[in-house]
Amino acid sequence: MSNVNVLEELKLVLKPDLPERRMVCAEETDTSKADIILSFYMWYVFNKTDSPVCMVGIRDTYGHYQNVGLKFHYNLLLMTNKKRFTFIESVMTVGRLVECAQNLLEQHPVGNVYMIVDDISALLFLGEKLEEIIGFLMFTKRHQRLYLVFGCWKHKFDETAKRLTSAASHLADIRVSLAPLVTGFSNSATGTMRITSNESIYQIEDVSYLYKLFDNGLTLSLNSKTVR
Amino acid sequence: MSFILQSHTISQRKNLKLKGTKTSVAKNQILISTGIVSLDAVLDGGIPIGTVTLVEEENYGRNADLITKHFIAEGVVCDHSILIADIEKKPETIANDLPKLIQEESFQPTGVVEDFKIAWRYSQNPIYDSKPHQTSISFGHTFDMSAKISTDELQNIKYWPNVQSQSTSYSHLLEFINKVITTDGFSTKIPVEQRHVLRITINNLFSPIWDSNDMDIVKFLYKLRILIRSSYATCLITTRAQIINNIIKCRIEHFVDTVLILKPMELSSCADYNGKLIIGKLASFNTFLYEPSCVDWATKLTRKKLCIEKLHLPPCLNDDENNENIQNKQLCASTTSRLNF
Repeated sequence: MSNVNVLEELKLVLKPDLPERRMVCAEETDTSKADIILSFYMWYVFNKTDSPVCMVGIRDTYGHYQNVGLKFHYNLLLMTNKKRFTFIESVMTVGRLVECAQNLLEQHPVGNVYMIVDDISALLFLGEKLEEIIGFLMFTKRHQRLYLVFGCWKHKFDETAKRLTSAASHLADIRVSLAPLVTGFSNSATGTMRITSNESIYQIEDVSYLYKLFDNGLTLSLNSKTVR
Repeated sequence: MSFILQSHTISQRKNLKLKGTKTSVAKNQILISTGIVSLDAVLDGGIPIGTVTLVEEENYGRNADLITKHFIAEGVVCDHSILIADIEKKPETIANDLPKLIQEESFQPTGVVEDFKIAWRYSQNPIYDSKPHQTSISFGHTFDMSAKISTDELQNIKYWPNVQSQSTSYSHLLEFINKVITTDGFSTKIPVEQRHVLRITINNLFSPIWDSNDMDIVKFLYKLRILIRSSYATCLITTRAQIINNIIKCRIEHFVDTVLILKPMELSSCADYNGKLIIGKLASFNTFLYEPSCVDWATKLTRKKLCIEKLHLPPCLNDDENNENIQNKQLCASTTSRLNF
């Protein structure tokens, strides 16, 4: 399964073109990373839309996402030269995040804009309050043109991080939970990816995949799918 | 402008030809050796430049200290610049206790094994090697712990704290590292004619002696990682796991790139090994992959070398059978004692 096939399959499940899926929360548990989900959304925006993207790299650098993006068939340098991509690094306060969002909306007064934050929980560890981070998420929800994709990390020992992740995933329109295998290691799977979306108040769609990471991409295999 | 410089240097990193490094094309990383060849293989080639590695040791072992010394010794041999930071003892004492380089053992594939006389049925079985599989030619060196590098060979080493250090705080160390990186040409943002590699070791992080009033350890690691990311430097940090509470430990592990956990060997039947090595995570810098291929590693310490091998548990014998055998032996011993005369 090539990377493009995997991305197309993810597109069918995540449905990023739906206007009611403006906020995406990628939950990371323990050592799992949300890079694949963030990269998927960047692939979608650059290849299927003409919207601009502003990425806030709190945890990783531009170079890392550029290299990862090349594996997913998009070039951040090219997009930067086309004025479709901006990268902001070393953001350590919620105020700065709000400023980035406001600048993005002002620079592109028409059409949808995308903001990607790689690890919002890092702000909590750097001293920001949980209420302020949630306040930022509420702020982005109020702006109809702003699409937010963010990663949020949690660990079984860190109660504060768990609270933030629960609150953030509750606010999000769609949640992608990445977790390592609980029972140990496997050659055929790196971890589980669970995609939960609320189609309506009466219908919650839950799709679970086993994903396997390689140096140059990933493979998915369907684990289960429920609609309740 | 900084991201343009960064991506430009990443694409040109392969052509940099930094001494004592090798390029991992699959992962888009430039790797340096830890100084222990078997540990390089466990880490899938070595430690990537621009990353922070954390070594946690439990129960007052000495393997973390040995890994640090090998890491520094490798840097000395490869002419890398070194910065040693230690708050519990003088960093100069570490530099005076580095293992000496010995000639590398050339890898010779095992030839035809001489015929088995008794277990001839097993002569066709493949020979199983407990050492980690080396995917390419190892670029690290081998060191002898029973001999020491002479102090004359030690060049380009900086120590912290030094005479000019005014405090022993995290912020002060970060400031010192930043100064070394920017003034000595290790930053990727500042073009220089000739690039070199900087190896940083920080020992006994989270020791009670550190002054954490102006900056806590989590913020320190976050800022350190950002600094290391935009430089031709690698940082190896050691800490004692039992003095860190679980919440701080998981946050620290979240902010570093590679986590190695050293535990004592609990099984008395594995007396050959002196400890276990668990890979918490591998650096996913410039790549997706961060999971180790195997987790069952053990450390083996001899007089001269520290090496990492795959942990093989001995066969589990039935306890009842053992007791029966012991009792039988005792009975036999009582009837055939030489003292019975």
